[in-house]
Amino acid sequence: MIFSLKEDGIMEIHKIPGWNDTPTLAHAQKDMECISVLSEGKMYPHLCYLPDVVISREMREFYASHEPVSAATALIVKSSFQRILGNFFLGMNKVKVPVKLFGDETEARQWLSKYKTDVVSPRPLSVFAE
Amino acid sequence: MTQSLENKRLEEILEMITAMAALDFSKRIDVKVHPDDPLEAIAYGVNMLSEELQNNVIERRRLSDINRHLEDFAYTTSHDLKSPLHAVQGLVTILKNELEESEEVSPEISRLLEMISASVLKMREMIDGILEYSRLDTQSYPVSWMDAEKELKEIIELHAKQNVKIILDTPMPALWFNRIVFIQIMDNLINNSMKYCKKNLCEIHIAHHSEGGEHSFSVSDNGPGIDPVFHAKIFELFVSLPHQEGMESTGIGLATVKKLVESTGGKIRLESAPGKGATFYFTIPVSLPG
Repeated sequence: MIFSLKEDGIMEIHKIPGWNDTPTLAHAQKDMECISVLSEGKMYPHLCYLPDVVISREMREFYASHEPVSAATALIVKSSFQRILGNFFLGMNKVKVPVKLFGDETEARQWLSKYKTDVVSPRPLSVFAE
Repeated sequence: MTQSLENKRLEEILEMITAMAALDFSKRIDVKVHPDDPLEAIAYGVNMLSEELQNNVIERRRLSDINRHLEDFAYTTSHDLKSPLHAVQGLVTILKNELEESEEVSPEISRLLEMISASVLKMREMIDGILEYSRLDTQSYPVSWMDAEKELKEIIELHAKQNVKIILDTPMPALWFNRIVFIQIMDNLINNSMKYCKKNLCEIHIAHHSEGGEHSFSVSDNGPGIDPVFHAKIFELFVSLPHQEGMESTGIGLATVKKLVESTGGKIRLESAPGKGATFYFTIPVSLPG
């Protein structure tokens, strides 16, 4: 995945273009490490473009038991696959941090702006994990 | 996806749901990632659901095993503690008798002996309570017709005291239920009301009504009441309210009541506020022979 901390204080998360492997627990762990490195102890709002992937039970368990890493998460879903995955993240995060599914990116950014911290990142940063 | 492939997929999904309905959560569908194919997304969702249910079943079994081991452990330990405690109680009694015959016993020593004796008695009550509590799950409760009014009148007679007034609403129903369980529940609830009531006259009111296929009984008192912050905790084992002077509790009675009520298919709840008394409500499902 690609993690980019933008100047507006929102962390964007995309799939690496052309990457079509089945993700594993090691990928999930690496993703969390990347978020941690990029966040430097702060909780940013996340804008996540969910990929069309099947994630295993051990990955779901890892995500569900992980401490929150965002102030809020907007999940962009376009396909039925992404909707299923998105609903899993909605269910697991019920009481931890606000999570919402969006079909439209502008609406998602508007919603996330409520959860921005007053700290503005000095420059965009990106980290990749495969 | 062609019609025949779609039909094949639907059959696989149906087969998996049928297996899940039979509590078989071991089957999985080989999902192909086609973002625009709703059937594949459904297959993915059903896979996820089945995996979660399977995991829940395994976790529930594991917790059930742990509970059973803990209750076995509690039973064995309590049972083993009884003998040395009997010995201590016997020795304290001998010591008290010996000292009573002696003329050189200071009031302080007598007071300390009384304290030891009271502590031993309290420990016995706790051990008996733990033994009773840990046996509850392993018992089956044979049912028969029982007259709730007759049983309650007998319980009230046993609790008769000058400063206690127990009012029983009549008529009370006949129940297809385990008589001993009913007596244990009521006895514990009445004891609880009496224990905490420090008024000159402790008033307890027992009522019944039928509602939605259930018998609902209530035991109300004019005691000090219970702060709502303790309502959720009060039925837990070894939890008792912050002590008031002269009130000792093992924290087993209400836990036993809850376990008895729930193991016979009922529910228990409490309504109370400080200074306004307490009402315990519990239900018994209406059932008939056969």
